Amino acid sequence: MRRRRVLATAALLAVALLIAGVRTLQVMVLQHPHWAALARRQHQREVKAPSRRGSIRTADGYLLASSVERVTIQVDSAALDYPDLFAAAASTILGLPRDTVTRRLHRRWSWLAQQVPRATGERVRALAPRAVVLVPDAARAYPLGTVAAPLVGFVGREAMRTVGRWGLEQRFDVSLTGTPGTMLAVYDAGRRRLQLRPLREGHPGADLELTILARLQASCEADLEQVRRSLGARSAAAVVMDPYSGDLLALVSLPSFDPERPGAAGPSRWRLHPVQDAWEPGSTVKPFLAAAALAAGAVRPGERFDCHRRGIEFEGRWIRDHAPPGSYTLDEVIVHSSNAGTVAVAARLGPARLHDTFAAFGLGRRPGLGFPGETAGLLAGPAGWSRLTPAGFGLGEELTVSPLQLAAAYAVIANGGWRIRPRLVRTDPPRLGTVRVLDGALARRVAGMLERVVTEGTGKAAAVPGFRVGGKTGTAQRAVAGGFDEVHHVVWFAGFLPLPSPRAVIVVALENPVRDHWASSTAAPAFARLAWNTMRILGVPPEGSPAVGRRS
Amino acid sequence: MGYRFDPWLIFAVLVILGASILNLGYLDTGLVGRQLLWMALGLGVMLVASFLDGVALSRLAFPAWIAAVAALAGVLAFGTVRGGTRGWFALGGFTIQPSEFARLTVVLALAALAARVPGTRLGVKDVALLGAAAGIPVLLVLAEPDFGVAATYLPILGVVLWIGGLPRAAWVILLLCGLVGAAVAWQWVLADYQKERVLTVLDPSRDPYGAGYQVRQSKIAVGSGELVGMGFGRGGQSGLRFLPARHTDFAFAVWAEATGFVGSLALLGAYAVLLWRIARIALGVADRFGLLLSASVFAWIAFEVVVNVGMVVGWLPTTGITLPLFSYGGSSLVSTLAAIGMVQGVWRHRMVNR
Repeated sequence: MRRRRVLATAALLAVALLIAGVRTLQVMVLQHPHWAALARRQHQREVKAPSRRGSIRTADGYLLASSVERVTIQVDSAALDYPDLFAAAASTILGLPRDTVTRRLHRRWSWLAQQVPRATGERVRALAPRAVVLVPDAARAYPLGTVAAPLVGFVGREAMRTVGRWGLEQRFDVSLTGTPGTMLAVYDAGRRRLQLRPLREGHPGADLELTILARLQASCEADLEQVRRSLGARSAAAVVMDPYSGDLLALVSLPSFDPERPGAAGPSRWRLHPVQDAWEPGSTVKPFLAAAALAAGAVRPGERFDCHRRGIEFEGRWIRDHAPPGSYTLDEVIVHSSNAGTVAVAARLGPARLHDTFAAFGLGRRPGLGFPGETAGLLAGPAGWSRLTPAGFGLGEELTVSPLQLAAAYAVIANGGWRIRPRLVRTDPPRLGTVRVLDGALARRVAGMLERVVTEGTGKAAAVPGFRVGGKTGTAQRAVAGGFDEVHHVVWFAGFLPLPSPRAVIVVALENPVRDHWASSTAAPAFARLAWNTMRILGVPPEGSPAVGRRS
Repeated sequence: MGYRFDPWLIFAVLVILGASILNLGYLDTGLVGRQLLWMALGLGVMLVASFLDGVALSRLAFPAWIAAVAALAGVLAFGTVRGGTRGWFALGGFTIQPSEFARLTVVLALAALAARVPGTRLGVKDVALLGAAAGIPVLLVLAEPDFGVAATYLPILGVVLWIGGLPRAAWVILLLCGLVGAAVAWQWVLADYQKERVLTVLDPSRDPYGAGYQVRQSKIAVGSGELVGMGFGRGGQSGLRFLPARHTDFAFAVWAEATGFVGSLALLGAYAVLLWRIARIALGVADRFGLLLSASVFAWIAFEVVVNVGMVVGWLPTTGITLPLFSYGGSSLVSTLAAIGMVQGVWRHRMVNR
């Protein structure tokens, strides 16, 4: 009986062990996927890691914006053996005040410092290797500083991620950002992040290559800023554009700011004036009028306009004329920028044709750059016009135009009559004019008028030695609070060179100049400086220079 | 007669001990050195114990039992508290858990008492005596309180009564008493956390971050092992500290995660060999004391193995019963090895005593 009972006990145990074995098989092998998934879920987590942000380059190979490798230092304060010593040492390495470090260490798994050079991060990690994790990060650098800053824009931080906030950084944020990579973070039971290892590579952001020439941009900015300061102007804008391809070679907006510290300058400086602001164009629109009059046959060949009275009566209002008194042909009206002659021509054209002419030159419509906040200016349809509007249109006062729009409109005259869409990004398809606004002969005729403006009219100061220049001044009063006054002005010069096949259309505008508000003595000489720079940097030799290196 | 081992028994013991050191070594607890020291001590004790014959052991039983009860009382007065249990004497850098050694003396005392009864029937007086010999230490251990260790005394009493020869009617009464006792315990004795542990076995998702946490983490560890395991030191559950009591109660879960089904089966196989040899010895000896002693040790080790493995795979409540020879802990290791040594002694002297 004892033997039986011993055997029974052993049998009981054997059954128990068998059950344990089967149960082990069940949990370990059959249910393995379930438990393994639970294990993965509590051991590791996927963390997004931003990829390298694309850089922004100019056509001549300068970096306007690029990303520098940095790290964010994260600390598990609970894993610090000597928090006070760590805080003291870390504050010395990072150059941060002790209080700041202590405050940041107060919360568990907080970041101690963002965008620190990796070497610095490694030094902090050496203090407490078990508690410190370095998370890859990047900082945005703008090697050329303020050059083209309103165009390039700037970035901001959003939950330790870099986000384009302004300008091209914002416009192309998606392609510059790329797709983030994935890191695998391993956690222990105390939710301490033990390691971080790359799991999947992301795609780095695409680089952005602009049509801008950095050297031209920088020299234009330097020259125009000097002019702006000497005139006490509130802001200044300039556009340099290839009239055939529409490529923007410089897009100047002053005063500029430091894109690494945009907060210090404030939003008014962030504006890209040539694209985002529209002002009254003044007399710069007169060539469009002349072209329309010639195309419509509204002016007889050799016809002269009486411009003796230093003004003209229009619909019961006296409009002043600053041109020297005389009897002028259409060409001379443009050359001397006579208001009396222009109003007479505008009256002949009539509201509908006047409006359509301006619209055909691209006024009142966005130039199609795709830049955020790109303005279309103001071009009211004839339905909303007053009796005086035809005169106002002719003198460029009852509409507004952005410098970029004006440059595109002057490109029509410069390139033989084709409307062109400006291009800023080199990877965009090349733009060829498809819409003819003027026929070739008429475009050459108007270009000839504009050349005379520079040789004998209001634009003498815009002359560039060695180059045939065509262009037009514009002095506009700005409509402020419902009327025009004597304080708020915009001075313009729009032109191109070298004739007969211009390489560049250049528009210069200065807003609210204080010391002098006549375009012929402010914007015109500024144009000359920019035009000279442009020719020099594009490598266009002046006429009469030795034919060294010149292509036949 | 030269000294002779039961080679299978010794082999199984050494395999289990080796596995335990391997397992412990890959955990970052830094306790390997201590465990090796205890192991050396334990193997020495085992050797010494194997020289004692039944007569000597019987003579030793009563004084040892008295000393153990005194130690259990002493630990209640002077012991150090660990995890809410006052169950350890601190001695220099080491701690000793008298309840583990007391179990050994209970084995001796019960075997000696039951062996004196002639025939195959236990009388009421005998049962009362056996009950007291087991009950007094159990009550002292319960007072620490350490339910896990106290529970390991019961299969010893059970097997001595079973083999010693208790009539069927008595078993029915005992069973009824047990049921009533369990009901009473549930109602008045068990603390809420202990009831939670029992309920969690029935419904593991009941409270995944409270009472169910340990079992859940243990099952995740075991389930991660799959067929051949993740390798030593590679398991996330043990390496990342998700497993509670990694080196003690849940050491088997660590082993399972590292070595998989194959390793777990190998370890369980080593226990099967060990218990099989002890059962062979129990069947082979002629004297009643030797039989009762080896059967008690068999019940002791078998109970602990089954309960611990059952806990690790989520079928039995977490009780704090460790895996004998495998879990970290010096007192348990030395007392278990001593018990195996005594069984070995019984085997060696089986001819002499006849």
